[in-house]
Amino acid sequence: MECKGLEELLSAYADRETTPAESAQVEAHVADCRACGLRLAVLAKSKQALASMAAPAAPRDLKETLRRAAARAEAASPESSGPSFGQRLSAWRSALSPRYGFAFGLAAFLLVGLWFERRPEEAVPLDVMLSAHRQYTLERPLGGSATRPGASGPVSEDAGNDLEDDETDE
Amino acid sequence: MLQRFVEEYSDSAFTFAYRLCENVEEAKELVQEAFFRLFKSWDHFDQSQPLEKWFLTILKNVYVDSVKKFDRRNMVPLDMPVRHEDGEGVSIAETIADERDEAVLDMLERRESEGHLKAALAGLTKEHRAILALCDMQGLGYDEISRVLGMPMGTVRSRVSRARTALREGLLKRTAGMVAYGV
Repeated sequence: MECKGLEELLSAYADRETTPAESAQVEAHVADCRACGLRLAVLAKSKQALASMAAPAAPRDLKETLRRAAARAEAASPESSGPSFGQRLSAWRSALSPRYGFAFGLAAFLLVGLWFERRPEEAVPLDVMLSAHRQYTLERPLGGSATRPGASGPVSEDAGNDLEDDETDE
Repeated sequence: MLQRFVEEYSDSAFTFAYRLCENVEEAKELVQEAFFRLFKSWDHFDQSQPLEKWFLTILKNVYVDSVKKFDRRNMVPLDMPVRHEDGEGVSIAETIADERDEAVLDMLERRESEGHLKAALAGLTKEHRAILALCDMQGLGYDEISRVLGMPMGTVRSRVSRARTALREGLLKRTAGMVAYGV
């Protein structure tokens, strides 16, 4: 193999970017050619020297500018306004998968049970309701005309016209 | 995610940019531009893809723009043969057989080699410096460089080789100077 045309191959070999056949070619040639061996040594050494060359760290003001810009960009991104409807839906679907089905069902049962349990407490007790009805029946005027609930005092004779009076008053 | 990316990559991006231009202010401009382009197109980023590769593509675009912007006058086609100052072309046989490689090797092994390397790098074209920055300083493989620069791997291989030949020429000049001054 001639030295001519070997330059590119030597460079690729120094980068370990040759095929196995090319590598074998280079190694066989360099074993017998001092000039190419030297050339390969220079390539390897310059590569190593370039890799270890010092470079200044990113200036602090540059990093700060980039951080601020990144924060602004993230805040402006649609992702930052929370998951989309589709994402929320798929999250729900995964939550309702068979793995979580039992836990979900149990929680729903307990919630409904608690709701029903609370209902009688919120309603007026039956005995209170009956006694109020009895009171109302006893106090009701015999004329058949009902006083307005909550009205007190003696029933006037023209009580039956209360409604009419009210209407005319208005 | 963006903020984490800034924390992780701003230093290496700056190092790369600095190696391209050897100028802090210019490197800052390059890095800012690359990150701002990344932020601007963030919504179009396919998050199933690696972010680093996407950033490299953006960096490549910034690099291409910067070459146009900063070094238009000094641009030399990469296919141009390496020449001595006297205008004579250097044949590959001459280059390979050059015994001065021993002197270059000796210089590279010295502690002060970094200064010589920097000077030799400064004499390269922007394209040569960029490809050496990617290959030797950043440690990217030919496939990664081909993605960054948008060129076939075969082209990357030949351009890396040409850039190294140019760098070696620069170093040879310096060793010649050292010999002349008895360093």
